[in-house]
Amino acid sequence: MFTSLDSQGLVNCLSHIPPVELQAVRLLHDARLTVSGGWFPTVPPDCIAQATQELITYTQACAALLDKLKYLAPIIIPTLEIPEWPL
Amino acid sequence: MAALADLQNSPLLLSALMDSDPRLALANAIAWLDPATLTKGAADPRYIEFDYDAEDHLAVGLHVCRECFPTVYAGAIQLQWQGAGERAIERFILEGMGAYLVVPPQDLEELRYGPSVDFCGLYLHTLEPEDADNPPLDQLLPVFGLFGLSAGGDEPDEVQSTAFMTAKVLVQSLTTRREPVYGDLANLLTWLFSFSGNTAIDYTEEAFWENGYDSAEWTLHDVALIDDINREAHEHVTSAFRAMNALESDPDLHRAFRRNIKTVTNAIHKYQQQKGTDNARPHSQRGYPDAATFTRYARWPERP
Repeated sequence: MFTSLDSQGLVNCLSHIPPVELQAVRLLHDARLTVSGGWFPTVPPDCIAQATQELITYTQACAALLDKLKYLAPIIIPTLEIPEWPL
Repeated sequence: MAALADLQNSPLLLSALMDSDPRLALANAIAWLDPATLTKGAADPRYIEFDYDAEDHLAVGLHVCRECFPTVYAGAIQLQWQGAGERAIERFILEGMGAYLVVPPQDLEELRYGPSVDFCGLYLHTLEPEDADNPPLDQLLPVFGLFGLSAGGDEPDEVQSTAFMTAKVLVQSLTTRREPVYGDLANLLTWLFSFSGNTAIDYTEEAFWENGYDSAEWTLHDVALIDDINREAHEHVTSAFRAMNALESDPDLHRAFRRNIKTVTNAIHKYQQQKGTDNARPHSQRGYPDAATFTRYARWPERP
């Protein structure tokens, strides 16, 4: 059962999350060396469609997560010192 | 010369720089494939509802495609990057959506009102005299005539209610029959008297809006639901026309249909007289028995 998590534990936890590998970022990365002319690469329509769909899903997931974070219950941190408080 | 070379290489250097930072790489990818997220704030959780009235129709089209048809959205965005004109992008969106929808939109302007329902309800009181000569009413009005009804719906409430009850009885009597033509005949009657249970069949567009129903939203769930409704409605109407053709080509069937309408209508009248229907009361307050009470009066010939 989960009882507590200190800030270092949170840092350790988050740092172990692998980076999201988005097809759109990879396509841009791969095409960077071969791109000529326009800012964005020319990629087959199927790849574009897949990458766009993945990007939309990712954006929506991030927005949904952000929305959930708003409703987290506040936590009392008695040991945290805030020097500005007396001011 | 060196400055010129630097200038020429600057896009490559800049893209390499963006590529090396995950946040900039993500921003670059979004600008490339999903710029609507940036321009309309769709990624912001406070961005709850898209304002269909505030945006121009191309923005509405892109939003709808982003929500429900991402492949079409991806193609439209790439067309924008390639510098295609607004009309070409609109045409691309309409054709792209048309490949997915049972009832494709004809114009992006329509998208403001949600996925299109192909209303094909029949309301006699809304018909104009000239409608009687035009298909499909030139075929359907004679069937209404067998129930004592005509275009304009000027008959007294009692006649209309009895006709409705008769149609319900006939449909109920047909549910036990396995012959395909009787399934078609039931579909014809539920269409004519608007009790199929399918919104597109039972309502005209005006009646739907006048009832104050909410239109469907551009969500995957609602699009699938409206597609099912439209698909079922088209099958229903096709089936009803098969019944019309059968009535026209099969004299025995037509005779049985007429006879059953007459017999059941008489049975309903007789029931009302025996029950001492109080004619002083408004018709809407007079009770009708369940349709099952009269199904024994309807008899149908065997059919292949």
